[in-house]
Amino acid sequence: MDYFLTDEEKTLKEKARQITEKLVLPVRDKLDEKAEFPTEIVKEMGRQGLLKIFVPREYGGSGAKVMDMCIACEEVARICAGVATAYAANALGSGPIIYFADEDQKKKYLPRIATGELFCAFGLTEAQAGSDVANIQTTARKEGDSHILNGVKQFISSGSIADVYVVLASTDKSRGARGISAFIVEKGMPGFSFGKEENKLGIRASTTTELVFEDCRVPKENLMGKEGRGFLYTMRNFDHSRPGVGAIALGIAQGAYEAALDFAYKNKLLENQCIQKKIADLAIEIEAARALIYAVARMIDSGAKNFSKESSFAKVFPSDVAMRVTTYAIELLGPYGILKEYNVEKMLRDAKITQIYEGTNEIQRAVIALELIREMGMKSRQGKEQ
Amino acid sequence: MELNQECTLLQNELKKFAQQVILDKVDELDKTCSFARDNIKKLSEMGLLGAVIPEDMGGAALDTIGLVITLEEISKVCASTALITATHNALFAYPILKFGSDEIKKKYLPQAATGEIIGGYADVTTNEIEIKKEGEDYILNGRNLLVLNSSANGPLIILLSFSGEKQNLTALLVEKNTTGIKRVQKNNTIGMKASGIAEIAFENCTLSPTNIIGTVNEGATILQEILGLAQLCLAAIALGISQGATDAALKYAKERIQFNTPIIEFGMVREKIADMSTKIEAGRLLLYDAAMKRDAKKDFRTAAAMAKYFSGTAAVEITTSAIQIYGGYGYMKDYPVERYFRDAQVINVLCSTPVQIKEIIAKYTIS
Repeated sequence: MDYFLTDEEKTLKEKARQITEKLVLPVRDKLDEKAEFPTEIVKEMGRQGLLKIFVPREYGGSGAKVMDMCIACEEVARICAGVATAYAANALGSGPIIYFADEDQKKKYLPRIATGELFCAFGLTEAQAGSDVANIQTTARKEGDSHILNGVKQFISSGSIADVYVVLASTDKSRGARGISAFIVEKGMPGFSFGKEENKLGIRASTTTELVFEDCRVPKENLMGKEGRGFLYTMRNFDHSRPGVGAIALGIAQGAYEAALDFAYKNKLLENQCIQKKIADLAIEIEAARALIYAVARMIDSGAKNFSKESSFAKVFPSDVAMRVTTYAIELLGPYGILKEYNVEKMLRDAKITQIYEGTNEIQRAVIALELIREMGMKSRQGKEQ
Repeated sequence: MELNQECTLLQNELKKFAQQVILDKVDELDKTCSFARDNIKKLSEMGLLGAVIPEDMGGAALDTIGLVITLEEISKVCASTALITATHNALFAYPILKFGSDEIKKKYLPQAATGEIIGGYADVTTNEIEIKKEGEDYILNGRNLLVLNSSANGPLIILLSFSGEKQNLTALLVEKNTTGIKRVQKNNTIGMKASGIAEIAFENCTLSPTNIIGTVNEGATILQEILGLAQLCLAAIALGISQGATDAALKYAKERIQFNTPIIEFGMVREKIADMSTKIEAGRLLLYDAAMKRDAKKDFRTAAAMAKYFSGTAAVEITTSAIQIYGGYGYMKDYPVERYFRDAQVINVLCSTPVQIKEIIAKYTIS
């Protein structure tokens, strides 16, 4: 379907596809099997200008458009969602700096993130704070001009790989979500180390580790934005990043769909009407997911104020589509589908995380519903006032 | 559905066995892709490797309902162990029993009954083998991508087309030490890592007419006969996987606190648990009904196909939901649900994929 992408967007899409097919495709099995982070590939993405797309122009980037990010994520994930996650985790970590950091902090980090010199990660989740984000136990105690961080972050994408971490910690427990602040922590700071590295079902090219803070002293210039605003920043950051997760899911779906269609065509399975129906359904669903992601990305890039709900739409639907497509791809390939040689089993393993990370689809749905309830409440109040 | 006392006793015995013997090593076996040899040895001591073999050949002559209950209980803990048992019984011993010459039966079945040999089966849809005839002999070149129980010591059953036409199949029994046979790639599947699935290569592998089970071109009939039993076995494994995953997810949901509340209190989790347990119960009724039909010597083929179709797809859905209930933890290999999820994928496509099996059901239903 023609989405009338701009020339720049078309060029970006083409470039992302070329880089991924050239660099990722030949090694994706190895990255998956050995759970190897694609450091060199990401560096090369930096050299080719794929990292600067999520950084604003004034800091050496090329615009920080959600649409660009979605285009790139889809293309990379079409070949390997592990590499796409490694790529997108960088943007997720950079997001709070882009949207909320002080001018000095932006100048310090963003230009080097845009070139790929610095790699970024986002440290939020904890053992007892998954869906319940506000329940984080990591603390940041004020001591002179510094904050002392203590606690353990869990399941952090690109943990131990990244150079710069945006870390959420509680500066005032009594204030709950309003007592959470964001800090920029650099690799190598005393008291900051890495714990367990996870062994995962999929996206194995993306490294997932614990961040451990033991009396880690963070200077005051590394407090990001305003104290007590960390929860708000986090939610806002996710509002921007969710369409990208949707795009990763879309890329997986697209890759699996192409593999399934190719297999069905070569093996003359498409004469079967039962398969025709399913393939047609999947084609419709994938296109619907793409249209939704693009529409939400355009909405955000056009300056919409509130897009929390729509951003959830753009994550939930594509990730559910990715699971349906990859599950069916295995069924269609049959015994070939479960073989590593045919790649769709990896796509299924990868797809599952898109229903989970950056907020499970259940939490997204609950948040969407709350927003709908709020809208209904406003409508009903307006009705009474009139 | 009420099980008789004999079945209940067997069920309890296996439940205990799975918990006490299998559970401990299941993760390790999966991670290292090791053939679950010890489990099989212990099951053979219980007589379960000879489940389909008559008593006069040293077998246990277990009825179908007993066999499916056995597989269900084992699969709740280790589906790979159940798949080895099912393959050996339904896809190896059963075709020999039903179609083998007296000589072949005598040679293999008593050993198969005690578990001295564990037989394998090469999936009929993943043959990439060329056959040349040389005098009386057949020369095989190529590979089969999906050989079940390839790590076991016994021979395997393979169905090949001598004429090149798919419907003209011939069943052969092949010893694995035959010259030209090589196990080339283990650990090549998404799941069932401890079941010894592998790709097997044939390089100028020579087979003689004595290798044939039944007669030339009788393979399609043999396949149809064994698929019925195999589908029941696979439905039982799918059911066990579903139950194991649901039990784990339920336990987790009761323990996991978010928003100061055990997540089992949340509607979206409860809905999943309700869907999962309903599908398990429906699948169990279909399966037990089909198994009892077979034991009563009634036509059970439609029922078996329905049971496999239903529980196979249900296992994929249920294990997907189980991971979702676990959230991020479910995606990690420290927790059992991702293994259940991977194993379910294998079962769902073995011995007829959902697309194929729906066609079978439609065909039976229409006629």
